[in-house]
Amino acid sequence: MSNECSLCERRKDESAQFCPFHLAAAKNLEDSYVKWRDAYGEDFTKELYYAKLEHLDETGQGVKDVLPLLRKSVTR
Amino acid sequence: MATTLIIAEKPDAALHIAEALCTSGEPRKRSQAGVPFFEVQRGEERILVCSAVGHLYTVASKNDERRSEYPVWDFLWKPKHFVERGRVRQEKCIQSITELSKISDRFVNGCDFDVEGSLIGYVILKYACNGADKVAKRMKFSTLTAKELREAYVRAMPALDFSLAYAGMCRHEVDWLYGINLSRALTQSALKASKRYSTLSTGRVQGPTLRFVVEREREIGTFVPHPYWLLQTTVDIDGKLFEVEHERERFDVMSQAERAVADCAGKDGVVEGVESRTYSVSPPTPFDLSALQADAYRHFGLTPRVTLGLAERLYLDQLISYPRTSSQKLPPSIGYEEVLRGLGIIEPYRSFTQMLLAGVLVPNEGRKEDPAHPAVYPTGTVPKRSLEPREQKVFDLIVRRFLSTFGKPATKQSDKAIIKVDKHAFFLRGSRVLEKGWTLYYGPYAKTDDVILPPLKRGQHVHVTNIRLQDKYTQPPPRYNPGSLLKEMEDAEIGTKATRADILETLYKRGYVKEQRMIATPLASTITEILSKFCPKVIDVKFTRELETKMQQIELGKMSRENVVVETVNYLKPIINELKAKESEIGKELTSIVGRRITESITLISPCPKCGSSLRIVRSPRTKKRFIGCAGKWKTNCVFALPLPQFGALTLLNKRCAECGFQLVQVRTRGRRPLVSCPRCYATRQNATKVEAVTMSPLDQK
Repeated sequence: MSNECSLCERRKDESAQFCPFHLAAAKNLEDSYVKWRDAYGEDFTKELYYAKLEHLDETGQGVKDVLPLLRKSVTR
Repeated sequence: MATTLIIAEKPDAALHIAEALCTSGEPRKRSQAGVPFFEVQRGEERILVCSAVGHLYTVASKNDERRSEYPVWDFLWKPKHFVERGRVRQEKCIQSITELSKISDRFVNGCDFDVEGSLIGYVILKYACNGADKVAKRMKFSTLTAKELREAYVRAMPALDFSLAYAGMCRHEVDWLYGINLSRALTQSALKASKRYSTLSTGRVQGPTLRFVVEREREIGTFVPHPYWLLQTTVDIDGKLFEVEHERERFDVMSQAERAVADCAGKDGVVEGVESRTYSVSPPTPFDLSALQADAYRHFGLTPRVTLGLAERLYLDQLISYPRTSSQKLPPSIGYEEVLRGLGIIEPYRSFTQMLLAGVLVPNEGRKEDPAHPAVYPTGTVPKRSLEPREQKVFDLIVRRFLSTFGKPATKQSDKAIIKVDKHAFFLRGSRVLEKGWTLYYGPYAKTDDVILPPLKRGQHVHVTNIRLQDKYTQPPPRYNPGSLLKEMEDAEIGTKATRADILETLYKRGYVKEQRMIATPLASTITEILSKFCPKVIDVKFTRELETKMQQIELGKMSRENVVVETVNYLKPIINELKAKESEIGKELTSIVGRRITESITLISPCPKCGSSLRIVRSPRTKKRFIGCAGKWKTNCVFALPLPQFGALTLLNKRCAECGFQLVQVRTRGRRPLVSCPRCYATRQNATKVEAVTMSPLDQK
């Protein structure tokens, strides 16, 4: 298994999918969904959440890197 | 007749000292080994005033080992020209001072009174004047005005301020031990793994400072914004439109915000009342260096280093006091009235000084103290030359700040009208200055934007003309700028007032940060990650702060320099040994980033005008000449090329040619000014010359 993050050239732990930077971005992304659902209502889906974040200037680059992968997993 | 040798820190300071101490005629300008010095007669005493050009001696390795070798623990203080190439001026300066010391009986350190000035003078007296440090006196002054310099000479301290000098020595030695070992460890690890050389550096203060920027970059990069909503509401009051704000600053739930809009839409509001509050704003405290740098950045966009340079020029021109101070105190001994009378000669300040002189003069001092100097203040001397625009700005800021500290508090009033629409309260806010107080003197640097409310009566009806929801998102933390990073360093108590600005410049020079809003580069992230993984204490703010405290203890004579240096070596040894043992592991982590850095340093921003591929600096394997070539050669057969100068160190500048827009290059050759040129324009001119030569053939000339 490669020691390089699948999203950048940074090194990652063998057991991890991403480097620490992208792992932190992915964690923030997952943790924040609850806040967005509270804000928009129960029927606010993850798909919509990802789609909104993708187009915001405020969204961190690390989060934008992770988004396509997570969107794929939701679509499946 | 006794001869006294005074060592000044800079040539301008030497001239001011000579002029101040001369009692008969003018100081005579002479030279020794091609270096000017001043000779003055003061009664029966002959005084020679010579000057250094900053540090003439530096810490260097004792054993002159190769630059690739580490760890290095043994060091000496050596003349700078032994260690760094091209230091001819420093070499001549040492020769000159040594010769002058041979004809002198008394010695005085007349360098600026702080750690660096004490160290510069001490080392020169010790090494260039054959151990004169033991008998030398010390002048202590905060301005270069004749009065203060005469006082400082007559009341010179009987011996050198050794504790300050030792604290300075310790700082240089500890920084050298950190810098040389950690930087060599990083550079060698990368070199051995990638077989490509790239200078990588870190340092005792540089490491933790870079960590601030990298951590901020990480916060921004992993930031997920959260939504919230604002009610954008406009009301009509007597035919004029005003924006009002809802009592809830923001709505975190969209349905609640929508309900509020539904409640208020199409309804009129009623004024419930107007609340007014009067408050006073104290005058600012006098400038210490950090506050001056922060304000100069805020108002003029000057970087901390530029501000320090400009302030030093003003100090050397006798216009302000010594700027490298952390004091916020203005003791009465500086002579408030005299300074104000002096400033009164300068037109823009005349009326202000008259107003202040009519009252009691008590400055609003801050808490910070500096044992060596007061806060930065104008001396009251009128500029003898026309100041360049940036000098003028910094001078004006310092003068106005000084005047403001003597001003009365400003009185302001804030107003809040409460307008009820349905069950929702909306606020219309205003503010105004009732008494200008100190803000009058601070002028353009004091914010005084008045927002006057319209006349409103309780029970008055106002019409809501517009109410709608505004989608908003939380913002990531802002990037540091040189001013805010300097403040962060100061709050964390790392570095000194004199060194912080230089450290920020080093971060740019090393390619760790870019742009004014400081963006950490991938190289910076990698270096910080490596250091936090293999030697976290090196970038630990707490540890660096502890070392600073120890150096302050040396200044106070409570700790010895030797103990701190030995402690540092004992602390660093296992870290460096571990880094050396893990060279290949570290090297692997650095390989790709070093490769990318080298590629970036030879790749132009301007694309190939023929095929659009990237352009790079390449070297011909046949002729060994360097030139700009097209990277698309192998794909598109593009043969576009531009010539480059063959000698000197070449750098691609982040600037474009004003004529053709192509990226500029700079060539540095030893002993010459850097040459900036546009390769494309150069090539065009060369081709034009060739065409002309062909056209003007001998046959045509006939």
